[in-house]
Amino acid sequence: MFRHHWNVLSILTAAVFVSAALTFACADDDNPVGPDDHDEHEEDDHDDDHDDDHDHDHGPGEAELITTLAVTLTPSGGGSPITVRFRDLDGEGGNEPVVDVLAVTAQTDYNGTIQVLNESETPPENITEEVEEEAEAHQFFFETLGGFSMATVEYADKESDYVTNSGADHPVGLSFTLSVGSAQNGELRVILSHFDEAPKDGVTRSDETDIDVTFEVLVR
Amino acid sequence: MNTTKTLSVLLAIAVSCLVLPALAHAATVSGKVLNEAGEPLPAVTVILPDLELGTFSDEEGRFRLENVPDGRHTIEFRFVGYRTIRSEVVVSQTELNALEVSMQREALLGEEVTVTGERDLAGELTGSSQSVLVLPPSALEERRGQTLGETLESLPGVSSMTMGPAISKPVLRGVHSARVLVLNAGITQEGQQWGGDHAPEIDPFAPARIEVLKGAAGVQYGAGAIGGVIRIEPPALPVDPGVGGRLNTNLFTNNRQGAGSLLLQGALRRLGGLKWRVQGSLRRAGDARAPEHVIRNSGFDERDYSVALGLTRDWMDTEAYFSHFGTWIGIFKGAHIGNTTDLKRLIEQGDPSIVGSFTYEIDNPRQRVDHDLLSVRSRIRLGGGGNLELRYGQQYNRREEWDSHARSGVIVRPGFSQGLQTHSGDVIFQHRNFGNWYGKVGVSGIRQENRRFSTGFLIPDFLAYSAGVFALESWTSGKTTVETGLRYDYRWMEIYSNSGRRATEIVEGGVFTYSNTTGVLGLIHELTPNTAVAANVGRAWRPPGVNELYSYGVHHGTAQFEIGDKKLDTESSLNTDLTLRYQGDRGRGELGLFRSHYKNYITLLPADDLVLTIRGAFPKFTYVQSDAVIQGFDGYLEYELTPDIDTHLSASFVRGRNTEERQPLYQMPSTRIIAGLSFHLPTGGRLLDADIGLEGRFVLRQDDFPEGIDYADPPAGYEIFDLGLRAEIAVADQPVRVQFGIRNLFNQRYRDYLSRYRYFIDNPGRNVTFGLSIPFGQPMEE
Repeated sequence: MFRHHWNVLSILTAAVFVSAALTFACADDDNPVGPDDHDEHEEDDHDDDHDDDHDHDHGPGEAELITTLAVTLTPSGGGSPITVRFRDLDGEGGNEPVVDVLAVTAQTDYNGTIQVLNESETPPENITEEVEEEAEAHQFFFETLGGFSMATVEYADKESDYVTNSGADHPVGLSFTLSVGSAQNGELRVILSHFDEAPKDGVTRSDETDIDVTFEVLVR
Repeated sequence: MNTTKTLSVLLAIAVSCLVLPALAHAATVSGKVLNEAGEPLPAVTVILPDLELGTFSDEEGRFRLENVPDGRHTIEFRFVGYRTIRSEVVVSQTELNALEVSMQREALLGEEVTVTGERDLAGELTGSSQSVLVLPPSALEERRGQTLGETLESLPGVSSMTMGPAISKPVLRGVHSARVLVLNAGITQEGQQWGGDHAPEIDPFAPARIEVLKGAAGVQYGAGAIGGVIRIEPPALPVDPGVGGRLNTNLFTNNRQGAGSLLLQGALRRLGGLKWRVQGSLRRAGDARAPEHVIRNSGFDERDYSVALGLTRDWMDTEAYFSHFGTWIGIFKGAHIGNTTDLKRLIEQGDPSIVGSFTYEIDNPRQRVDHDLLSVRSRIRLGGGGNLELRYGQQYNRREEWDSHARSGVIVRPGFSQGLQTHSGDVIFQHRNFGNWYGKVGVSGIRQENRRFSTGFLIPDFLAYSAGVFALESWTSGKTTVETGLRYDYRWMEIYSNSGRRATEIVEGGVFTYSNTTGVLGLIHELTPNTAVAANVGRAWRPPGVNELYSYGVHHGTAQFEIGDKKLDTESSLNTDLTLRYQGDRGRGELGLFRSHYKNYITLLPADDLVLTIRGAFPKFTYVQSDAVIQGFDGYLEYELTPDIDTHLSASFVRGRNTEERQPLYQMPSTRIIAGLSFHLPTGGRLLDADIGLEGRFVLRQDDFPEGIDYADPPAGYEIFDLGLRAEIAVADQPVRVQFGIRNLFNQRYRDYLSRYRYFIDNPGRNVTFGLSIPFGQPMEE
């Protein structure tokens, strides 16, 4: 009598366990990363996944790290260029970012360019190229603050400089001109807006800010 | 011999290993006998032939057999002109053996002989020393197709924290997530509950019954049952050979949601009467609509299924249940912000900047959530010794979150992806009455492992083991029951180190151990035949969550840089509550007063500092512990104004205070009052039952909130009205249920304080719902 009980019970239990085992086994197929082999797996996976335009060392789904924004100003009348950087090599948190002070000359016009980098990679990844590729979805905005608010910034590029654009040809801001005029010490704020859903109109910032840094400005 | 026709339906109480509440109750079998029209049937002979016990039903069809010993008995219902019902009832001290019997006239000989036995805790005066609310199948039917949070939010003391229409999690008396334990088919549901946007992974069509226990229940349920327990039970398996089932479909106009579920079940004649059930559900919704905007990318696509097998012998019941939950959930695009300035600007602007037209398509950002749960439960009857209950659970939870976009190219993998595997086991011995004492002892163990897939980093991997041992006893004498229990738990957890190029990815691991002793003392006293008072003092605890220990980074959507603290200690609560119950001929009600005193309540507070990043400066928030008190009251009253008009009223009030910082706790639910009226419509012919109801929900603004934590003050209060029409129609001898409703009747614009989208967009507007429930084949138990 007991044997009969156990027979049925074992069929039941076996059936459930087999189906469960199958499901759990399937769920495990993606190889969770073990504690000891994180890096190994990561590298492997990346190699496997390098089937598109990704040639850097992180998952394509990961939000990419921007460590550095560099602004280079060249006096339009000639002279040596000035470069200031906002640099946060370990990303958000951790060590504080290093922010250069921008020293400009009064009554001078500059041609400016912007470079965006991920310097946590070797060699550094040039994110500027990605901004160029997605020119229609990005725009830099410039704010001159405090005593420096007398200075003016004008866009010196259009989306069509980088991509074959459809629709209105809005500025991108990777190159611009800065007229210092009689401005005094203050701040220069550089913002990179990402346009995903909301349309880019060339004037309005988006609700998704990729970069928002402020440089202290000294005017000589 | 026509045994199948006369074979009655076994009550499946014993199949499920129910542990709530483990209170001694005089072993009484009671219930109500009705005719096929649902009217009370008086003077029916009710006998337990084996025990030579018997009685008659009274004018209201009620009967009561007292001093019935534990065990399995035959019960008969006899009445001239009606078919005799012969059934089996499993009588247990811990369970309320309330039966509802529907007798059929001899002339109408059909298949529909149903005996239902629902442990109606909410209806019982002396059921529990804590406040327990029950959603029986009929109430669940009306709410089919909605999330667990929405299903429960009409209950007093329960609110829901939402992130659009697809994600909502229940909040019990002000607490949620890691402080509320969800018991699914007897197994503690282990999902990744550390995120406010992570809803419990429950198929809304799967449960036949949901019970909500408010307050600390650490002794019975172990770590996590700080604020309460939500117990979800799949339907009882059938006993009669043959196949039956039910088809449910629900339509919702707001997000153009279609939902459907098919259930098939039966018992085999061979294989020792093996009972089985298969069930599958689909839910698909597009963008929801606030009165003035489309909530872009708020759709979902959910596919769930479950399989159950059960076996009953004189010496044991075993049930194995496996369920899979899988869903894609869109995250509202307008909530995707870059930095603090973006958030502030959106709040000032008031309206979402991202609008669009309706679509079913689920775009990034989105979540993919899968949850597999296996539960095997056995109850072995040890003759004179009592019962032995064995439970084993295995769960696998996988969560993937996809970012809005990659800076280049197409997203082919989630921004983060994590798997959590849990094994759990319980052995519980319920001993027989020993004088006035009745109770149980048990041990339980859990193994848990969290593994990150090769994607972005959010929380570190870990391995954890927990073990617990408990005893719970109750003593009953006359009209008084006293309950007491003790439990000890231990948890060992190893967090694995992680290296990375980013500061947010670097984790220094370590081993953490936590242990705690909890206790409970409860009292129930029947004051009059219609009223009872219950009091409970209980402790519960939880270890800090891995996010509370290791968070380091900007929280998406709130623009806060959140930092965990590895030195956090266990959080514990001492919960005191007093419940008054009333149950009369024309109504019933409950009023609960509670006060929970928390030691080491874990909360996120601003650190008066900024973290400068390339995206701008974010305010720094750190997880800290302090003493806190959460107190309030909630209750309900249902009253039959006339035989055709029913009214109900419920209210919830909760206040939380950080007693060290001397400020209110963040995100406490607003005070709410729900009032409703329903009319029974005349029935006859094929129309078996019909009613129409109107309900109003009045929510006050939360004025009690801490300063400086939030970018926006709590939104204004609101009133929402719902209209509902329900009918039961006989089609081919089966009761088909039809439901039609309009939620948010006046398309009111509002924002709820517990909506995580309240910075960006209004809550959804008017929603017309339609539901159809068609039973077929062998009748199902309700």
